Amino acid sequence: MNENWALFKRNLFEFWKAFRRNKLGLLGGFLVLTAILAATFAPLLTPYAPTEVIRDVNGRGLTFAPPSVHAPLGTDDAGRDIWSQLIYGARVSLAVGFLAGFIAMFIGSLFGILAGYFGGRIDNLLMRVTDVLLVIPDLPLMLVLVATLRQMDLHVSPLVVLVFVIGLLYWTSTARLIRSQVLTIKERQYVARSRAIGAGHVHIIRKHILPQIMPLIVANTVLIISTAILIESGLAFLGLGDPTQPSWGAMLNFAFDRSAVTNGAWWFYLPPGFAIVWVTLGCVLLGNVLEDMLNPRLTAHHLESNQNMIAIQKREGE
Amino acid sequence: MSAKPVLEVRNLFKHFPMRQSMLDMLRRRQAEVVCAVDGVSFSLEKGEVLALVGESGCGKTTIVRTLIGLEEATSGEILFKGQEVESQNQNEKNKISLKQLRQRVQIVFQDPYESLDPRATIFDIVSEPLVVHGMAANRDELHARVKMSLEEAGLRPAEDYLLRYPHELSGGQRQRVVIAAAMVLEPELLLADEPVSMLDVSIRAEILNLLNALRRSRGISILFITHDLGTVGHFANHLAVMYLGRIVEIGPTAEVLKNPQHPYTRALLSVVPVPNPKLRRKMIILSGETPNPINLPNGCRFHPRCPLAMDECKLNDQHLVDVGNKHQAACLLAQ
Repeated sequence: MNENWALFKRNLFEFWKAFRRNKLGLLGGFLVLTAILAATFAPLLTPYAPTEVIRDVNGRGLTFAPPSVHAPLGTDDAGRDIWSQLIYGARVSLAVGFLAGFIAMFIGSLFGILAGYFGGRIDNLLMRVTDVLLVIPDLPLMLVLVATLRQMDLHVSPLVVLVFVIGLLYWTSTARLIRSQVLTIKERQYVARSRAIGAGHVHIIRKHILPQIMPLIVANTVLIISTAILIESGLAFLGLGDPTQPSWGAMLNFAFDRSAVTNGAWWFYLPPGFAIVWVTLGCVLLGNVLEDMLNPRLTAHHLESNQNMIAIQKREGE
Repeated sequence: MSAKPVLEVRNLFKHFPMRQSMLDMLRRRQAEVVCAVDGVSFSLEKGEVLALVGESGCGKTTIVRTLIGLEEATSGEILFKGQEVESQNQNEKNKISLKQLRQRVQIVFQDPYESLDPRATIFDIVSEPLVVHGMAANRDELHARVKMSLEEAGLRPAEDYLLRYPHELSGGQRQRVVIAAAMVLEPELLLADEPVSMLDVSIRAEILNLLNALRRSRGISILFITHDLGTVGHFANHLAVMYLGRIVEIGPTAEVLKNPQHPYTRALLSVVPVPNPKLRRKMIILSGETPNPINLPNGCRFHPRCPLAMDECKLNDQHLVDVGNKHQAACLLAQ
């Protein structure tokens, strides 16, 4: 176990060494990390609770107040602090995005690996299911699904419904991507060698296929998360989110409903839009850079590795 | 020498059906097949090396893949130590299962760059056979056996290699890793599919010497596939020359090299470089291309290219005949 840990540390260090040099990747990581930190430490970063109404000296709510010292990003139509809503909204948006992204990734990887590895009938069946989901327009289907599920007496938060609907519909592109990669990997000679040794399917998938496509899965998860956040915002904007919890899409929905635009309350609708761009841009940058970096073919050549290596060759030569 | 040969192949056929067009299927035309291996028989005794020589596409690799169960034989028998090998995962009695076979027969592929998983460490690679077959009781034993195998394959000190990745090693080192992984189960038979053809000439000799040393110390048998007759002479006891899915000449190496009977063997031998610039020989350059293995020529399959072809060769598909000293050749002219 000890040496596995050493190996892991070495790989992590090598990864960080390469990642450090990539400016876009660093920017993406920074954007995502700040959003996660803001969501985690929301109570420390906000002066008010997101539902708390800020009142003036006469006890009246400060409605549509522009940014000031009391409310750093102004207030909404009910006199609630926009900044607090924004930070707490990060919790909902990120949670939905991450959970839905992980579900989509899991299903997509499973379908992709099974279809690609076993081929034949299994491949045909799984890919036809994928095709069907791929050709149905996503947004209308999701609207119908979310609306229908909310009508049913499920006793779950609307956010859970959202997570599952997004997660169960957004795995198709991943499945295709993973499948195509598995198709090329399973024809490689080291897989044939493993089979000739006597290894079973589970062993080959676990030891040879999965490690090869893991980078792809990681990078793709990050990209899927950004899509999930966008979709969540879209659905919440259309009023299908949880009205009791602020999310960025829900904030936009409120701003639209309460005619923030005609009132000139730009501080109401710009911040959530900016926050969505912040996180999705971060995810996309990070995802693209990870995809490039974790590609095994781009790792160092044996001659430029470490000094130890040259010493060994000398010893052999003697 | 044990009574039963380690490996015996009887009349092995491997035909790959071509994909048919819909139209041909409707016309009920018979599917065309590629005759990769077309009736091959040979046997290999304990501790011996049989070299299988032939040009590209003559079916050498297909034989190896069929032997280890990566391809299913169309027909024919494969006997391992006198026991028949089961075909694909049917639990037949009296037969040795594929899994058991794969524990006792190991394979070394041609390309050391392709046959190592780039994301596995050398330890993972060499220990894989032990893990798959559950041969090591605990981690210490696993470690000890992996280290021993690496050192035996000439990677010393083994500790320096355990946590390396394949891309950190040179081609020769990688092939040593492949051999170490093959030897870790202490197999009785090694199938070496052109193990040195991808390596530099200087490293070839080292790898061949390594295989030879392993053969002597462990007494394993080796089926050695190559297209290089030059390396065969000082390595193999027996030599089989293949042409288009058939063995055209087989016998003790020295005997075949000294007294080649089949015109194809002669042509191959005549172009092997000899390390003596003053020696001039008559080279036999074959004309034409290898015939398409889908439409094999009638009669002797070598006759379109044979410099000695007679009319009879177009009709008569000559099988292997004895020419003395355990030497057989498939030619009408063989005496």
